[in-house]
Amino acid sequence: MIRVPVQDLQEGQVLAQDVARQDGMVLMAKGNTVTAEVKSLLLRLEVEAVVVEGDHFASEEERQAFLAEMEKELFKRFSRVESDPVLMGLREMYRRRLHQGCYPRPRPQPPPEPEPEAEYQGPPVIYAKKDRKKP
Amino acid sequence: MSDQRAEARKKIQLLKNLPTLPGMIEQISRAVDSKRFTVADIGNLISRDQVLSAKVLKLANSAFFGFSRKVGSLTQALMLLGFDVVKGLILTSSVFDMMKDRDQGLWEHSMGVATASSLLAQQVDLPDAEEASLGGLLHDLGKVVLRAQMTEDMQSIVELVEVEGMSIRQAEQEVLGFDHSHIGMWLAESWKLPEELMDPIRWHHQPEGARKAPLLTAVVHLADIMVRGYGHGDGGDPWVPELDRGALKLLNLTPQKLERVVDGICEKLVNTGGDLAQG
Repeated sequence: MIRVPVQDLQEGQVLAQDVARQDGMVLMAKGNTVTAEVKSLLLRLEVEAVVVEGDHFASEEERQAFLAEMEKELFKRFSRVESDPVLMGLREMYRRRLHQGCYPRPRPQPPPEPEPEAEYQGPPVIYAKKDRKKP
Repeated sequence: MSDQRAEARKKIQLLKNLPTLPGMIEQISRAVDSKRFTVADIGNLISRDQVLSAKVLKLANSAFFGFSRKVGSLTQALMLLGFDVVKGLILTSSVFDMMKDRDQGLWEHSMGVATASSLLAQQVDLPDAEEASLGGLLHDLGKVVLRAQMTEDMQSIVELVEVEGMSIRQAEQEVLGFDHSHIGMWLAESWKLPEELMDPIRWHHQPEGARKAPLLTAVVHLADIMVRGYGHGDGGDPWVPELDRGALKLLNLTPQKLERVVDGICEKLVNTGGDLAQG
């Protein structure tokens, strides 16, 4: 699952959670596929973001690697309060949600195409006067 | 140590000279106190500063207040949020202007704690969720000042955190003899923030000290812990601080309620951090 701002929704994505108003009224049920109409309706309703299926990882290995890293960071954050059962309970709540796609920071984006760098010409060469060739 | 305190107080006095802050706030405060002005008048007064009013509206519309409809005008914001909260939003936007590009992480942390405070307030039946948001937003006011006005001290503090592995608060105490919660309180006093808001600023690490607003302080105390635990933003060091037992008892949370807050955090703090800081 991934949370996506409504303006960035792509057609074909599937809602993974109900879209509900603050007072609990469901505007659109999960399982609906995003179409141009659905998107414009959500925009008109001033919904900011929705949760859709799919994590868009390049591969399962990549997903596992990212999860492992997130989990390691989570355990480090709680490393000084391990004797507190309430906080250990909280850590477990966060750990479970990590596996459900609730990440505190965005997944790594594929690196942008590197811009072709101008070839390095070396430091400017200063010729001694006598070496200069007259054109 | 008293010399150091005096010095820090002096530095905070400097803050009074910051642009946009005192003039606008005092004008509005006077208008409110005089009781001769309507909400619309005060809305108009703020609207005169367009940059400021845009920022206030952006904050009023952000996730942690959770209004289902957009807050479109300052008058509406004043009616929905009340004067004290709007005043707090003006302060917040001014404070964070001081550090705009300097510390995105702290801004995200503050926004996160505002969100978590509001979620917690709903679970513990704290009547004023808006005030809880504001308390969360402003709780680390002292850290903003440290970063903006006391850069040399801040360097030593960061070094202690990174090299010695001290918590940020320990390191502040080591270098200054006091910590960001004291600085925040002095500033809140000099800005005449409502007393209810001073408690979470001063006591969010030692909630037992709160007198005026103990429940609000307990909410911000736990919200801070939850946001650090989740890993949103940057509070100055990577560790979850200790949870105060008195605060926990006061909050009287069931595991189910805590789960609900965690769900809310997941829902509201994904990839949204910090976008308001650019406003």
